Amino acid sequence: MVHIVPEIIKESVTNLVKNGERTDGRAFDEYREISLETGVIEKAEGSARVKIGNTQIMIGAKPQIGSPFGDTPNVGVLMTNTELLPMAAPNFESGPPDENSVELSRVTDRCIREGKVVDLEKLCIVEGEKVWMVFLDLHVIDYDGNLMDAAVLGSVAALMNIKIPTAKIENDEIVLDYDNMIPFPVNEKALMCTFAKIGGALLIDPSLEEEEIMGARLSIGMTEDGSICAMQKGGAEPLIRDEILKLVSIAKLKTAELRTHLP
Amino acid sequence: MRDMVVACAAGKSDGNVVLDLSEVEDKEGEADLPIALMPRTGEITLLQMDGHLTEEEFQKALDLAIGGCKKISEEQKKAIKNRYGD
Repeated sequence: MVHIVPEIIKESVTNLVKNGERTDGRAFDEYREISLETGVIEKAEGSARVKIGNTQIMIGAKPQIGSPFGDTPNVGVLMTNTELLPMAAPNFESGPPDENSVELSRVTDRCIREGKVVDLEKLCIVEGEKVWMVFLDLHVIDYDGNLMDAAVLGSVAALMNIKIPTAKIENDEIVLDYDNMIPFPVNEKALMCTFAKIGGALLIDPSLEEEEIMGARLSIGMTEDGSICAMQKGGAEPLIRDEILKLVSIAKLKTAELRTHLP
Repeated sequence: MRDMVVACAAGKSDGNVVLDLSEVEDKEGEADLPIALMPRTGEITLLQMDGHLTEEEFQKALDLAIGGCKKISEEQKKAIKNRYGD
């Protein structure tokens, strides 16, 4: 991704921040408007469309039966993939995933996996043979900053939206009973909260304009009990210990606020 | 040259917040927090975490990792002085 930002924007945004203001008039700890819909794709077993401001991601969750990994024979499989669609931003290009796409997939996956959002052991059908695998496909359709918080919020919603058929073993074969659909085993709602550091200030939910000029970024994933399950620092500038601790305590309140958007 | 960056990880294993996870502690443990530090200014230039830590445990792990970085920094300086000093 190429960043072309005139110095003048950097200066004006930074000066605003130094006066305690943001370009869109938000408070430093205020999210843009959030909307979350689930079940938006008829053919997907689970889906969600999430918007934070003008940022928009469509998420599909697809369960399939497959073989478990050799070292975890009784555990289901979760795979996360991201597409930064060319229509979402002038600098997104089609082709193999770039580092931004890979980072978004990995951080989303980490928050969901380490936060134990899905009870992967309940996805085992026959130990060592067959398990449910779930593919999370994130399609970024409009990019206006803070993809990570939107990606995790939408992914948790899409997982909660999945219904799977009951799997039974008859004559050594797996029979799926589509008349008895069961909800996917989601037992935790881990969410992520991202901050940008601009001109010494820490702002939640950075817009694209803010992301392009930020010095550092910190994303914090938290479970419902306020424990930390994932963290990722980005950006070239450093953060100091007390800033990180402060952001952890703000993230505790803000992830709880985000959680109210889930069904 | 502004500083000589050093890195160190802390985490949680068997319910205890610990510094410098061994292979087993890393694999079986409950959390992993690698950081990189600019020792002169105390600024943190890299930070990642996965696993499960409460706010208090995180603070403890972060402070342990910062301490670990400082120790490695001293060793690094010592090694450079031994090799190239005087």
